[in-house]
Amino acid sequence: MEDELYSKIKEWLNETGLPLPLETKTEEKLRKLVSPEIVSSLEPLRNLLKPKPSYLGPGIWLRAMGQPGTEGEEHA
Amino acid sequence: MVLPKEIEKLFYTSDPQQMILVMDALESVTNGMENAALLEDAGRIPLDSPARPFVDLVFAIQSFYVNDPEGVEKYLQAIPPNSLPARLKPLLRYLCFPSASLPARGIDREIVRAIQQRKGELESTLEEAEKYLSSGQEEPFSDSIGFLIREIYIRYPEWAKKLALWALDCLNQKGWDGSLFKDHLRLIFGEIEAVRLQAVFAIRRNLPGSGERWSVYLLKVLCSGVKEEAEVEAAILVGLYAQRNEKQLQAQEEIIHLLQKEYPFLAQKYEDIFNNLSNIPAAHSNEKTEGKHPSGKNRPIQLELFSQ
Repeated sequence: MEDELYSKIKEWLNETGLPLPLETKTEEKLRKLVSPEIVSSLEPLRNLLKPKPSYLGPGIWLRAMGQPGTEGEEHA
Repeated sequence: MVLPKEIEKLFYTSDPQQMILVMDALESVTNGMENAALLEDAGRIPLDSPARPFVDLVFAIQSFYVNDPEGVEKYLQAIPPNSLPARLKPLLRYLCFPSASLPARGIDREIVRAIQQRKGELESTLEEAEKYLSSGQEEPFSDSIGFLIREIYIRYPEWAKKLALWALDCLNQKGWDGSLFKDHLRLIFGEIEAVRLQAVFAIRRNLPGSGERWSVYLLKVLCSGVKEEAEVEAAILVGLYAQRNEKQLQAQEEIIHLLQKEYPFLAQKYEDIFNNLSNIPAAHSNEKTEGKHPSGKNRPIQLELFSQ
């Protein structure tokens, strides 16, 4: 999705009629220069910071499949 | 690998090669040594094979380890309720979806305990910072976020900057001074980048003084004399936008002087535009003014946060 501030600046430049055709390189720099956007949620960061779950090997998963489920749960 | 009797039976009642394949695939995803070719072969086991529910379980577990809850749910849906792998559905749902209830079986709880490590230091720091924010403690909030930004800067540089702007937003909304946090930004990102981040924040929130802050950034860039011409030009354009309702750029004379010295082409291109800034059509009146309350009154803004 296009950065809101970057779009506003480009729109404003078009409206002003200034003789300022943006070169691709300048556009790239402009996009980078106004980054980042202000995030409304830190959830994606929180997920990045979470430690990876431990790998347990197949044994315990197989054991769990071998045990019948309890009432109210989906089971074989 | 010790197999439960019900699974062992499947080696005699269905295609043993397929069962060997799914057991190898299960081993690979549960010990963190994924074998792509093995998983691809397992994925080719026909949908009507008795081994197929085990294939979907393998892919559900794989999705869990790559933090793809939608993928987990997709594969769980494919597992028939009367199959052995269906016994693991409540457990995998609990591991992926915070709203799911903790399974009652002891073995499931054993897996939950073994799989979920204690919270990481950085995750805890973020939680602490949020607590300091809600309890109105600016200093520990600034220190915690500063520490977090420093720690994630190498691995997640974009997120470090997003977190910086998020924190500036919090400080501004609270009406806090922000000078301690500004010191952190300078130490982490360096003077020029710290000024840019604060100016970008001010422009994005349409705060008073945002154009002045950008001029400070532009002057620092020009004084450093190390930026590419395209980057300096982009900085000029942002400055023009930020000060589009002003009669002239803040520190205009100094900016023109430095441009003439370091970037004569840009000086020639922009000097007339700077001198005729008041002739540039003003911004549309329907533009969002995020620096104001919906009531139309100015938000409580701590200008010190954005001062030099």
